[in-house]
Amino acid sequence: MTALAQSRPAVVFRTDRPFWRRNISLTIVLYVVLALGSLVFVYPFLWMLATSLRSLAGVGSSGASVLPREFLWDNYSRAITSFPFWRYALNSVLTTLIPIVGTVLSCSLAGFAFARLRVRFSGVVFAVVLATMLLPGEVTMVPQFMLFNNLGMIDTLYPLILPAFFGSPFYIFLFRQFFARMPAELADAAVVDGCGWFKTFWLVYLPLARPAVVAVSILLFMGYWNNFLGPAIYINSDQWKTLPLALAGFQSVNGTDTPLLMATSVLITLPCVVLFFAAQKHITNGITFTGGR
Amino acid sequence: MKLSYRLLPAAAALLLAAGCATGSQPASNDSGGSGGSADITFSFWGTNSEAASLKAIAAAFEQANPGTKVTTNWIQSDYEQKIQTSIAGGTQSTVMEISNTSLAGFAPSFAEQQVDPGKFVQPNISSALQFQGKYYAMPFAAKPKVMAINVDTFKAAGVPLPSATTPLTLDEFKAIAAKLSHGDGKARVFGSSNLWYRGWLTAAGGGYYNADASRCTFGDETGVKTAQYVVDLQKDRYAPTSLDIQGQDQAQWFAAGRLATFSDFGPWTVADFAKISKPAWTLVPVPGKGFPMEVDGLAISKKATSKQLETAKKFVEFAGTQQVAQDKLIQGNTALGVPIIAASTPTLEKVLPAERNLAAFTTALKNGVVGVSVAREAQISGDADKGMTSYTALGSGKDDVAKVLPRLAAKCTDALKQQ
Amino acid sequence: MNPTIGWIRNLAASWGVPDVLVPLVPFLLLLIALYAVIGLAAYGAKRKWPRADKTIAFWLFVSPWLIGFAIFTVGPMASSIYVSLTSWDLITPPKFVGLANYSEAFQDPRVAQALKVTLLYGLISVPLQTALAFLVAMLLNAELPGMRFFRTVWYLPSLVSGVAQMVLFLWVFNPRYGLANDVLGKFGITGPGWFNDASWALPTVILMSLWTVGGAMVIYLAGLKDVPSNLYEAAALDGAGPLRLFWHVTLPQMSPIILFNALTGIIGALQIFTQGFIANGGPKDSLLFFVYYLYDNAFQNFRMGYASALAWVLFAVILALTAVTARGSSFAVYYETELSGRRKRRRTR
Repeated sequence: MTALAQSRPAVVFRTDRPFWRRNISLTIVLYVVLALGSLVFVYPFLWMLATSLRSLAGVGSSGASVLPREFLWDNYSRAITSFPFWRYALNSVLTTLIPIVGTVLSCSLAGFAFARLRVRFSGVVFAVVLATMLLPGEVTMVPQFMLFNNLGMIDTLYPLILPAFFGSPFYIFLFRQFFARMPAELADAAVVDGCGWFKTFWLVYLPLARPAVVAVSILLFMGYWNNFLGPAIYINSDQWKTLPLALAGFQSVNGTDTPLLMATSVLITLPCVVLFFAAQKHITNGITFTGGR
Repeated sequence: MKLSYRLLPAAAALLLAAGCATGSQPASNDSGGSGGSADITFSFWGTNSEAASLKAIAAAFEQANPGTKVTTNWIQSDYEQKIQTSIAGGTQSTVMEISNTSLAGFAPSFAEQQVDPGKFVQPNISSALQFQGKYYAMPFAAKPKVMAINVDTFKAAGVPLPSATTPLTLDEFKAIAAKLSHGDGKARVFGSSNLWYRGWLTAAGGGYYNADASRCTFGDETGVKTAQYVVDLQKDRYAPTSLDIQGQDQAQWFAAGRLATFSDFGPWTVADFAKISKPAWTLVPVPGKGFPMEVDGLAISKKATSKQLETAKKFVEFAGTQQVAQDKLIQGNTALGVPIIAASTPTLEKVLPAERNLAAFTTALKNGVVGVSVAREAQISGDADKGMTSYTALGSGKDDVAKVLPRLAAKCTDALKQQ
Repeated sequence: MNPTIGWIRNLAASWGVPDVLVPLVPFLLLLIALYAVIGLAAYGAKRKWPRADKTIAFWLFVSPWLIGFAIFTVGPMASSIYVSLTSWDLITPPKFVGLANYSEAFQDPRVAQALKVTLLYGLISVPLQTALAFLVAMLLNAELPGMRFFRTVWYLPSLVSGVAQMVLFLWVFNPRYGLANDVLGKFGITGPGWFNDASWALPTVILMSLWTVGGAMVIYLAGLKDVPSNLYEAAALDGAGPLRLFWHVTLPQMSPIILFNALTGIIGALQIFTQGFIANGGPKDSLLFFVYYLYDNAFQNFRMGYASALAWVLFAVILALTAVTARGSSFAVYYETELSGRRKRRRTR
């Protein structure tokens, strides 16, 4: 079925003997390098957490220290109350979850069509889809703004939600690769049973595509949650702001309050972290599909 | 398959149609609110506390006029850009807060108003919101600046306290700052707070623009001299640089005794300082001619329906001239601005005990210098400021102000001419 | 707003459609009308050519993308060409100026600066990120306990992205109070101005981008595990040492993934915006990324025509780069699958 890497993982150099047990010194070096690297990597984030719990005075004097001497949880409650945090969170959720549904539906549909429905011109259309992947979104930024202006959708969430329902070349490509690897016999069996193509897609292929759907959804979540350019262009008023946009405007509202700023950043990052830990397995499994092979 | 041949031309037609449909038509506007209703929308900017004042004024208006709704829209950053985008998209609010410096750029989108200069404390206030001789916004708050001084530090150094009513000269200020600075490294006490170049330029008698807004003047002799003044004070470490205060809260520094004076003190700063009981502090006028005084007004969209126009006019009148509303500029111990009607002046002065001398605001209000209004002001001055902070020691650069400022001023003048 | 659209909206509002949904109505109506036409066409086609099931299904399934392509890509691109030939501030009607915007773009020193900054960033940070991600993936590929923990730790930082990442690292690299200079200070080194120093700003952003290699690393890790072990065995039997194994087995097998990621990485890097916005272009325009400059011209200076011309300049640059990379890739990449649908050789495991 699907190519999960369940075989013995390829040992890097030799396969005749347990390499790492033979070269203890090399193993130790490896661990040290990894540990040091991890420390360097993770340090800024521990520091972010530590700073978010400090007071204003403590921020200037603590320097690089990550050990929290203060625990001002109050910073977090202030972060939530100093601006309409829940309203912004709701907007972020809306502009994340709804587009995920839209993207998954439209891209899986198109990907299936390119993989299984080989008709005349399907190759040409697919080539166009791929070519669009190279298109920078910014070429269409200004005229899309005018389009939404004419539609009267400026200062609403719609410009951030609607385009998702019309497919995105990268994910069409992903789904297409995924569906292409599934056996063709499934389709033949369904057709013999009298299913139309849509039913074949909806009842047979899509349920089997669950790993890909989950992986794609998680990737999409990270992307949409942190999206900044879209809201920066389309959102003017307070009630439709998303969290990243609010964070960018933070200093005009709260002045220079670094611990509060850090606390807000932590809160905004939290959903992605939680999602990561909850869905780790799916991410690593699903990555196999994004490998481009 | 024949079917594909049939559908391709249809697809092509669709693409062409879509292309035409997205066409570049100028926005045809209709202002917020469904037809026939007298409810209005109100956009403004500000920090938390400032927003609280404006929301309170809106609520007071609703109370005084039952059945009318004022929906507030707090735009927290890039205010002028957002307003312009909303005007272009036809989604602008009925009433919009506007500062006197930006009025020129937006006047064509605002409805003309009738303003009675006699109602306000000084004529500068209403004339600040005129454009080509007509009023385009009703003033409702002024933001003069004063200077806070650390009384204890002055006494400890044996320096006489500055007068509560007469401003120091710039040279006197420099001498005082020198005397009051001491210490090293992270514990250094500075005689002055971080110096806002534009403010000090006005104090020295200069400005960013000339009187008829045809030229940028910060590259002139006064401009360069003031820039050098700021750079010298920073070089001698009498005032912290912008790098020193990045990510820091100067009010907190003042409370910790690290700043002997704090010069960019506006009405909203009262809140941060109210909780400071030690060291003892008081307010004095800003040296020289003082910092530019911003006058904020309420403008009405040109595209408001007649019912909305009526409500909007009542609202701006209420906010600018009624004591009930003007008093609400002061919330708790912070103020969005200084009230501009005589009746509300005591309200501000009473917020803190007399030795804090909040009356300095009233003096500053009477003498305040109002800046020239220019279209796209935020953009033009923003670019100029960015150049200054990038290239010269006013920010993080190292180049000579005498060379850089005239160059930037020339660029700025070009931008002005592009209006 | 288009007057017809405005009329539809008022109609909808007067029918009691909730305010939040009113802007959606004209668009929905347009879609419904479109799909009514499509549905009729499909029905008619089915009647006339009963065996054309597959074709009809194909076009129906692809229709959302096709419609989106027309409305959100082709249409805007077409009108973008027109707008780039005008001078327009959104409020007053556009004024035709011919190729003036393009000639201004070629003479504008800030355009050159923006291209320089963006290209430097793309061409330096992507190879660096790729190398680092690959290196780490190779290390983590070892069959040792605790690798999962390290993998999590290396992936976690990539979750902080966009505005939050920039905000954090602005503070990390604060010259007076930040983490970086504090650590350097402990070694007796006076740290540079990082984001505040024009010559350090871009390297700082490149450095910052290395924190997010977690995503690419996980992809390479999965790819490494996918390399068939029999290839290694066979090569080792032939006497290949670790270095030759890497060069002749690992790299070629990984090359499609690496290329794919590098290509999408470069395209993504050329479109970087958030960092430029938060840093406001950086000191002396050292962080004037192209898309930020575009945004600045369009939505802060309200010069729609000039911004549109700039967008086409960017498009040309990306096209050129992609062409170059594609040509170069045919020398370096070993492909097993193709797009024309030939069945992949089934591998025994």
